[in-house]
Amino acid sequence: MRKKNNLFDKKSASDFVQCTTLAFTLQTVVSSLVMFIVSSDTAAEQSKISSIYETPGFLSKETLMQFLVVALLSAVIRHIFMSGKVVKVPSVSLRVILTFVCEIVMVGAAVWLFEWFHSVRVGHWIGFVIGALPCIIAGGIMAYKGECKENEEMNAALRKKQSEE
Amino acid sequence: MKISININPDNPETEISVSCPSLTPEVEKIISMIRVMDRKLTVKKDGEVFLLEIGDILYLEAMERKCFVYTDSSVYESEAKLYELEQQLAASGFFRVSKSTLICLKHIKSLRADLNHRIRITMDNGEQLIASRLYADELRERLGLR
Repeated sequence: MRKKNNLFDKKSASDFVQCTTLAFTLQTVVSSLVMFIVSSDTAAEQSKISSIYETPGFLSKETLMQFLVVALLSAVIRHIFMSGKVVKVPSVSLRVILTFVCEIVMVGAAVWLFEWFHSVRVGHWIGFVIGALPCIIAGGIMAYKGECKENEEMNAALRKKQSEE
Repeated sequence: MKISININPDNPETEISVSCPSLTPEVEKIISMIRVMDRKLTVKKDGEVFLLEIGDILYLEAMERKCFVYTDSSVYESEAKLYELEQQLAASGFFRVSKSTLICLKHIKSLRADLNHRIRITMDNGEQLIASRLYADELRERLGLR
């Protein structure tokens, strides 16, 4: 008899990345805005000092805006390559590779251009990623629910077609 | 090849008789096509010839220049090519889901969206088949989802 296919049983990568991107971007927008409101010039100065001496500090308004722009650009890049609506790449693996290469180049350019080596410390990045985790999980749940709905619709259409024939 | 048709209102049912000097592959193919009209498919298993009810067939698969016919519990081999069977069985609810597979719509148990816009098809006997991206779109169209 035929061998059963043991394929990667997960939601379509494009839908998943779109949902997580949306969640991640929203989280970035909210956290950046909150930090933007509470930050001050003094905090910016403290950030500059703390980055040198590696002590806890705040990010400046300017850096937070840069963060926001980079996050939005990241979302745009993901949409371009992953959604299949702008650039139609047939292979999912190629889409993922293109997306991440472009993101790495974009983030690398931002780090160099905005001199994040001086203003952003590793701790900030780690905190940012940990803060985004609940949103990524929420994105995963959204993607799973979307998948369930699609499967339900497909199976309902199948039953209808079978009864017709 | 000579074809003669004898129309007689006294005949209770349509009868087809084939007269030939020997059973050549061409004659076998003609008989096989007539069998499909009668909702039967000529298949082989362990050197024996069987007449399989089309309704019992779950799916057909081409592999290494051979065509295999899958039922609930057995696998048979058909002499015909997959594209020939596709044409013959289209009216019986069979359609292509990949370059090498034909399935019967009424024997699909469930469908599931898979990675890369493919569809995972679970048949009545629990076996799983994959509709490739191109054919998955056609399947969605067939189901009226597009």
